[in-house]
Amino acid sequence: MTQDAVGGPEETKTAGGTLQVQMRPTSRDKEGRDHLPKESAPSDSQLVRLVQAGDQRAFGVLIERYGRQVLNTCWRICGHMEDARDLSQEAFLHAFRRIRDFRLDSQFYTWLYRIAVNVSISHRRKMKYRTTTSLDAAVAQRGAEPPDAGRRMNETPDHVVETAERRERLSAALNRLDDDHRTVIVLRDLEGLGYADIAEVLEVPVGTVRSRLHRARHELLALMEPEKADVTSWPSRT
Amino acid sequence: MAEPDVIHHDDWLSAYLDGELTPAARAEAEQRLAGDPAARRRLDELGLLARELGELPRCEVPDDFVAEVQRRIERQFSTSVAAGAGRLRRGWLPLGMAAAVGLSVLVWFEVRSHAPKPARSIVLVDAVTPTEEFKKQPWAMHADLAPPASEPAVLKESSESRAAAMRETSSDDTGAAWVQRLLTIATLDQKMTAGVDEALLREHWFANEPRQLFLIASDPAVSERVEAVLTSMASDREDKHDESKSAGKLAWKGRPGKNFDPAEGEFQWIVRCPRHEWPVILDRLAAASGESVRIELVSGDVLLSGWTAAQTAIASNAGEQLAFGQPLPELSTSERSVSPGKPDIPIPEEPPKKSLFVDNTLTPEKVIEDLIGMLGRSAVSGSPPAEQPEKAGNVEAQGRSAPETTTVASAGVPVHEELRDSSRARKTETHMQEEEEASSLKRAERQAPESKLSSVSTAHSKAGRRPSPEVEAEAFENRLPLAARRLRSVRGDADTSEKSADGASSPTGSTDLPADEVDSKPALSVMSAEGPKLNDMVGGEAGGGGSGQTETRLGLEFAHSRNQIATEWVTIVVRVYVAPSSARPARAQPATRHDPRNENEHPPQN
Repeated sequence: MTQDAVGGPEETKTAGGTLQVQMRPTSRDKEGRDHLPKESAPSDSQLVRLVQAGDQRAFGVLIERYGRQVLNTCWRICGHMEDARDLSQEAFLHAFRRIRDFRLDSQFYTWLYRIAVNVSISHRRKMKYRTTTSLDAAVAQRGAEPPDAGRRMNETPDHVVETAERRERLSAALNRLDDDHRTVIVLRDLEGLGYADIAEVLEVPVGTVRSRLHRARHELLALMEPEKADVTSWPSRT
Repeated sequence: MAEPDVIHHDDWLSAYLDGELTPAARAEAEQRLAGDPAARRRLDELGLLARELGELPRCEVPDDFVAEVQRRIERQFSTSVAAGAGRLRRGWLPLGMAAAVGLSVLVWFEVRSHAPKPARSIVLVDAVTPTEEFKKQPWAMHADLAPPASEPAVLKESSESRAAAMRETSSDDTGAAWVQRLLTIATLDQKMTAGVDEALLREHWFANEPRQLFLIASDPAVSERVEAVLTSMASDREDKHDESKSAGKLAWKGRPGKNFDPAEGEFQWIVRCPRHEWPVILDRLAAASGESVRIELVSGDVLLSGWTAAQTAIASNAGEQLAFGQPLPELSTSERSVSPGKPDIPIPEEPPKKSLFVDNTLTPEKVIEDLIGMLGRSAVSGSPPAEQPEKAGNVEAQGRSAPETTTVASAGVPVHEELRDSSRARKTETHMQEEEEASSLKRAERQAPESKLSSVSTAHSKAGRRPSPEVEAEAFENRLPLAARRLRSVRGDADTSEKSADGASSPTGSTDLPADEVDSKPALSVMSAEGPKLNDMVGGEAGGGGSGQTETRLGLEFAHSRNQIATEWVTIVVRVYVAPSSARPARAQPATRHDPRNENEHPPQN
């Protein structure tokens, strides 16, 4: 974790989980408050400071920036699309409520992910969602398509059906994982977070993330193709 | 990336796939893969799985998502502000200001005794009498200092009547609401004295109105029971810290946390809930824990706190993480752990008398008086330091006289002698009412010996002139920025002045810290440059012992208030002591039930 300096370079996480470094011009008024730079995208920390100073519009920028990630995280963890929308809103409300306490010694997005994960897991435990969510229904609701849909237009209908079925099984299998395993897979394979970020989100050591992710993937493989599962190769849970 | 250089576990395949191995480990992994076809197949399977996971559909954010979230924020915020404005319109602001400058102090406390008590008494005391000195303060010039028209409710002894009182206190015009208003307004004003931006102030003030109940169990067995109760109570309210959804209900911050090292035999929970639910929670805790548990409400205070930071530090057991680099004091376990077979609650006969919060001879009067003095000086931040003792002496307290054994360590601030004298002289009609209520409490206790907790609130106010709600609302609207500006102009650079004040502070009485050591702990000073040195109040910080944990916590919160003025909580510290089952007292012993007034008359011979 690094605390970025005002006006200096800052690492910004993109949707794909990669980092970009950009210079962030800032301005400060006489009272030392940050103001949104007029021409460049404000950094998370700038926006957080503005929100902490009472600028609610800055929070809107943060919602726009991370709304999709939070929504999808909530969806995949809680397993229910409609609930995910409420939960993601709830996560942002939590974040807004607590942002005064956010001390900028960690990344805002990991903090936000943490809230989203906690809200979703809490909701899931409450609602006891243990059944498989209908992916088709969710997709139909949102009109969401796989990101590579356009590249597969020339696939045969059989292949398309097979792919859709496998995705549905994968989604169902993901939903059957326990909370810890599902969460780590969502953060890594769906949200693209690095191990260090996941560790920060989950507040566990990086080594725990690594082993948990390993177990989760093997468990997921076993759920997908139990006949191929190499159970003996799985590390025992500690 | 803290990855090992060599592969020790089976999870290397996933880490290799994700590119999370160090170069050395990666080289080793590739070497293994080259000679292990099964591992290669597994890697292919994992790779395919990861790819398919990445290709799962993602939903897009609805067009109105941002607007919807902001609408919800606006809705909650405006609700809170409207509620607050309504309270202010009813004339509570002036009282809050009085509270902020030490003219009003509210303390919930339970006087400890040296014997396990099957029932507890919670006494609510307040004193609201604005002084002439207070009225001269710039922020008070436009304030209506009339006390509330309604008298606070008295929480009854029996469960039924307490439940009824609970229902009463859910309305705006009864005692608990009165108290809560008083506290929130007081803290608002304290923020103003620190020059916090008005918009931020108002928003955060109302947003954080739910209070914290702070529980510490001194024994793992007790902690399990406490946790069970809290979990049970919070199970359907988890993370519902949304006032609009959980108004009047227990609001629970996260799951029960064990923030203290279990090896130390201490557990801690933080419960955020409406103030009026505290008695219910304590009652249920007592009922669930049985008579082996004594729940002791040590003290309550209006605190400006950076609670999150303090909580983090406590949770991680790493005080170095605190912003001011001050390690958490070593907590004494002498009072916290109870060894099996020990017949009594292990409260030291001669506790250290370092400060307000480590002095086990605490009496209600002392707590009140010292808090009055503390709040009074801290809030009158625009005044020269030389005037502080005089101001403290001018504070009118309706608490009763303190025992002569009162010792409050004071670094650079005189002990509250004038305060004590003035409160002695002010043993008023109000006091007599309190005594009457204490007598009724005792009667009620005898009638309902099975009750674990009793709650009595006594608060007294003068009937006074109140301007029209419109005038008050307008005054509120105009007053905040005005006062904030004035205070800012008076205060100047708070950081500089605080540093200067710290430098002027002297060592805490019994801790005997060298002056330069005190100087190196700026966070343990108060939020205002001219206010009291919290070093005074946290004398156990260096020495620990006694009730050091309570004292420490308060110190931390105050300390953080300097840096995180926007975060504030009213914190009640509750300790749960356990007596071994063999030493449990017979159930329902009305004759030995403890009443704080009795203890008042016979202060501990320490």
